[in-house]
Amino acid sequence: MKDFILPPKNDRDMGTPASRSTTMVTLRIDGFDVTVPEGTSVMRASAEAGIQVPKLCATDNLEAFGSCRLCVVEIDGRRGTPASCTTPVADGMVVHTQSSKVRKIRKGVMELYISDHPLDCLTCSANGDCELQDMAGAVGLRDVRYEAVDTHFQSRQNGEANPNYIPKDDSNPYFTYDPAKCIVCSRCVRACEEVQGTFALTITGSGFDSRVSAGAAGDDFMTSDCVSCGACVQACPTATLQEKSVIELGTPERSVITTCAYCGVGCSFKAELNGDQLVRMVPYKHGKANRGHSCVKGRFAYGYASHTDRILNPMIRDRIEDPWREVSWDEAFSFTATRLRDIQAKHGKQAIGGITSSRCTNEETYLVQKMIRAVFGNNNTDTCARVCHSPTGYGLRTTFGTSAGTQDFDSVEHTDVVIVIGANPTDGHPVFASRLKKRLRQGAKLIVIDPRRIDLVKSAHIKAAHHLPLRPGTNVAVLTSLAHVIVTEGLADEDFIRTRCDWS
Amino acid sequence: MLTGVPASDLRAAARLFATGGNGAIYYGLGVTEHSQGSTTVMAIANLAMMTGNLGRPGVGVNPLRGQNNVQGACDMGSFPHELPGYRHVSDDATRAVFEQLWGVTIDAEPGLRIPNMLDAAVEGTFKGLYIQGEDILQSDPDTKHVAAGLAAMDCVIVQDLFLNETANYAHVFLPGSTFLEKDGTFTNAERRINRVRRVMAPRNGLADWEVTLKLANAMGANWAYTHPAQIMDEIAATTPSFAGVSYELLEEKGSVQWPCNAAAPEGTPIMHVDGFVRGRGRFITTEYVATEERTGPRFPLLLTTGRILSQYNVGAQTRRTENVVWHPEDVLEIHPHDAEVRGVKQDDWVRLASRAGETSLRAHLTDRVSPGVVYTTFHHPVTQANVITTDHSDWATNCPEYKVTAVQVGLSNGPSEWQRDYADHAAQSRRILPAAE
Repeated sequence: MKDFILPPKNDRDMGTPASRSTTMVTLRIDGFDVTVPEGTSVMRASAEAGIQVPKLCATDNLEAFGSCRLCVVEIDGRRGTPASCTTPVADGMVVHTQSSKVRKIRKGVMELYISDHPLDCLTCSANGDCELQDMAGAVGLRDVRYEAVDTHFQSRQNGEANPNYIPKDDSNPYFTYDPAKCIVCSRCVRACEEVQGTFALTITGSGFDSRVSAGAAGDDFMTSDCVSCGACVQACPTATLQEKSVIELGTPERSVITTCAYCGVGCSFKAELNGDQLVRMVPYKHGKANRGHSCVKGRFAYGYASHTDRILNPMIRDRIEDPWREVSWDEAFSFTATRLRDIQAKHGKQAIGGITSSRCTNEETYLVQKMIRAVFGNNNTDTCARVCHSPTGYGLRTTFGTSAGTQDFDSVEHTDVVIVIGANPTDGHPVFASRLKKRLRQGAKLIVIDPRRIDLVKSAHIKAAHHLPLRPGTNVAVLTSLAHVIVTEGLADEDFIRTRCDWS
Repeated sequence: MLTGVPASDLRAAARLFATGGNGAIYYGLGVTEHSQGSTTVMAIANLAMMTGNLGRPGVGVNPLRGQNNVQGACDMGSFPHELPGYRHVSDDATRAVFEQLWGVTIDAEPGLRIPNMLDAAVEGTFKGLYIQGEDILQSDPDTKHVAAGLAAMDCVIVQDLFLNETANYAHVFLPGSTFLEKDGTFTNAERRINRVRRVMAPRNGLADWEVTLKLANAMGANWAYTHPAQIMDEIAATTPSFAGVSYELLEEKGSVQWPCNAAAPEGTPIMHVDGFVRGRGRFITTEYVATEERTGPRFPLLLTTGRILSQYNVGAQTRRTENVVWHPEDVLEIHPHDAEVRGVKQDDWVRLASRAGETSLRAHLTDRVSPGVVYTTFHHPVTQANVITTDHSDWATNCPEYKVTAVQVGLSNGPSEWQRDYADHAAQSRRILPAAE
């Protein structure tokens, strides 16, 4: 059977997030009628119609920012040249994305950007994957009339040191920050805030001197609050924030959609490759668990797959005191089969068993338990969930009838009050934590029940309404007392209980 | 005060949850890994039911699964008492489905759980164990007992990427493949079945499912799967909650949440919408019963454990990446008051001792933990945090009580005797003869 390698379909950047409105609006863009939900930006509506308005600071996983001035358009009956990213559509609106006026403005804006950007495109790590390069092409920039006097990237022509120059920060093991290439679009700063929720980055300085900064002056990425999720690297339209793997290996030429093998969030990724050389992992924006986000483990920590410690040949030994001996697969299987059958002949059918893994696929797990039940001939199969979530199986089956969580992760976007108990999502389930924190910043309330003051209790723009620092081992006492208060104070949902639950 | 939480705070939290709108509960292993783990899960279910917080977006009971495929491994019949789809092995009709397809007779009695296997091994009645992708020596409680059980067996087979700690007690090592090297599916915490796609060829030559297949065939089976899609077809054919799942559907939809069958052909994002799976929701009385693990004069502090962002579980993967720059060793978090009375200063080596054993690590003074509570992670084998944990476990499921251990902390000179002995043993055990011999 064919191995599926999906092309990155529907992967176009729509510029601004989708509107959730159900009211539809029809407008005309460059002579095409397009119908979109109310609240959609003119930029996104254009993209829906297949028209890509030039842009630098906009990207569809961040709120519109309106700073780069490249996406300006003309709208009949309106004065000036509004930014299409921050202008919502209106019924009957008539938009021109390519009038001579806006084309001239865009060219002038690009000229200013490029006047303070090194022109080392051929040797730049973003060559071929650079939005600044693409936009210079899209607006037809042919000439830069400004003299390179006060740039951020080269020494002055008179040989003096350049006070504007800030050296490259390669303190993070996985990516670099090169201020010389920064166009101050703030996409990284906004990704850190809106997507990750860490607020590690900011813009320091003003006007021409403004640059991205990780924390206070003197901090680099490693000493800052950065958690290395990589959202900033993904958001960067240039080589300013760049994976070290891309710098080393070049631009990837193909991608495969797959699923992260770390925690239970199950983030979807595009594994981007050259041949069979993995270049980088990019969270897949249509992944329904992660919605285009990732953590440091999923995005960056895949180096173990090619680590020299990996054992690639089967090995056997008579006794555990002996050294290992490398053998062929066939010899390993026959040695093992003989030993297991000998044990069963001597000690009975029940004397062997197996353990399946929560790290392996469903299909692999199914085969292991099938082998134990059908080939070993007993039920001596267990799994590492024994030591983690077996009580979830028992508890939820007893109360609800099935052993599983009740929601999807999108559900958190509709929650008003959250109890987090016995979990540390910012460390253990970071992508879910980012989605939760986003909802908390929108006003949802948080109750943390944990012996330890986990980061969710208080972090940037997040403060739990209640932290109950219970003594380890008293969960049941705390939860039962919450229930007691709810019942004795008449706060229980009697209607739900009477119609949906056993009432007796 | 039993819980250490002021009653006024409990009341305020209860009122907020009951009156604050859509209420959702998210929980992790700090709920399950207790002697009352199952009771706690039921107390959470009670709380959600009594506040009407089930069956719509924004509410619910959400276990945060620790690993990529905890949900899937449980769904797939990994437990000794359950066939795929959580159906008891004593159920004749379920057994008949598999017996007919597989052409064998399936034992109607539940098999052994991991702790029982190890106990039986120490007693001499359990002799062979196939372990796929797990390091029980490091991740299961009471390391010394695990080691004794493994050492007593005649055939321990470890299938893994690396010579893990368990492999020190193995007779056969079958190299494993990473998620980048094979096709399959993982089921995440929201019951979402996601495709894992082969990005590159298996470096060891065989995907993990092929290794199991060949071992089964060496023992006399006659399996002929040529792609994991065929295994999923068998799962769908035998398991009602997966009846509609196929690789074709996953290609079309991207992913799907079980149950996925004739009643829910596109899967089920939110469960219990029109009624509970069991009919009516069932409240369970959840009486608090204190763990037998008690503090006392010899062990006055309570140890609890957790994870850190940059590392993952026993660290087999993340320790072999540059993530180690953030967390090169496990440390013991201790409140400055508890540290001061013991003469412990920041970064001092301390001895951490429980009734089960002792280990050494460095101290980190912080008020993140309350006085009386200490905390550590378990990402580095040298720490051997599970030398400390006890063999107490959940009354219903044997899930170990990792989250509560009575301990004492004192200054130390460095690694404990056990840590040194263990390091020697591990080095000895990892010898590989050169290919020429």
